[in-house]
Amino acid sequence: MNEPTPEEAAAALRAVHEGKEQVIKSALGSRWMWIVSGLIVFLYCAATDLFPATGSWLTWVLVAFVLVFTAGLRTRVGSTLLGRPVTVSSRSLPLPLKLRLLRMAPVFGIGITVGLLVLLLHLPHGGIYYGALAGLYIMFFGPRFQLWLLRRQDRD
Amino acid sequence: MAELDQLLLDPTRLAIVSLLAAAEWAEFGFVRDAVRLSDSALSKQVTTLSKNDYVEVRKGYVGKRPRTWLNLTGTGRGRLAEHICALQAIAEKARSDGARHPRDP
Repeated sequence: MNEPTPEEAAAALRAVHEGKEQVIKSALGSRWMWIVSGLIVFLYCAATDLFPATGSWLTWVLVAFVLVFTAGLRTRVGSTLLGRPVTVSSRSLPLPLKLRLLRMAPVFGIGITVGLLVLLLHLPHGGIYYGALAGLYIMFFGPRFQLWLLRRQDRD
Repeated sequence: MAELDQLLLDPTRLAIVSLLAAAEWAEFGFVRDAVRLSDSALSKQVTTLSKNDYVEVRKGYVGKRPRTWLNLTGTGRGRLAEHICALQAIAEKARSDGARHPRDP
């Protein structure tokens, strides 16, 4: 067997790392997926603000949508349909759920705090402003945040 | 000591397997674009890898379009892990040898 030189071995190791990085970047999915998600959050918040009576069934529709969306992303066909050609393997980036949730906690914390502030301040149509902020965050910062999470997991 | 894998000494095959190692499933088209190969060249490599039980191939349809997905098998993951350990040992040995015998200025 031809043993690779140290330079060839180092180059091969770099190729292995680059492969992982390519998968992480592609696992973010297409831009439109984030835009649609942001729009749905905005429309949900706006609808519950303007028509409070629809709140309870709209919440169920949103929960059902999130469940179908999440389940779809876990299948090959669903993932392809949603513009994600690859799914990151949990074996290659193992991280306990508790730690993953802990890393997401600051973003959810800010979201809950802003939501509570809107409620306490009794802002007229506060739900619409809140939905607009949350929707814009998902559209523009959602992919970046997921990329950051996956890279942190990779470093761990 | 970890052993080098003959099949993975080929840089193209190593690139394919490295991509698949980080993925649960990957579309054929994604792998083709990532390793910059033609359809036929990638098919050839995938056939070699699947014959040796490194890669599993699944075919299906999304709408009316046929799709192919690739997955690294447990055997493939094990061989890659061992191959990486062997490569790290070579790189590490060269580094420690270099530290012991520094070049003259």
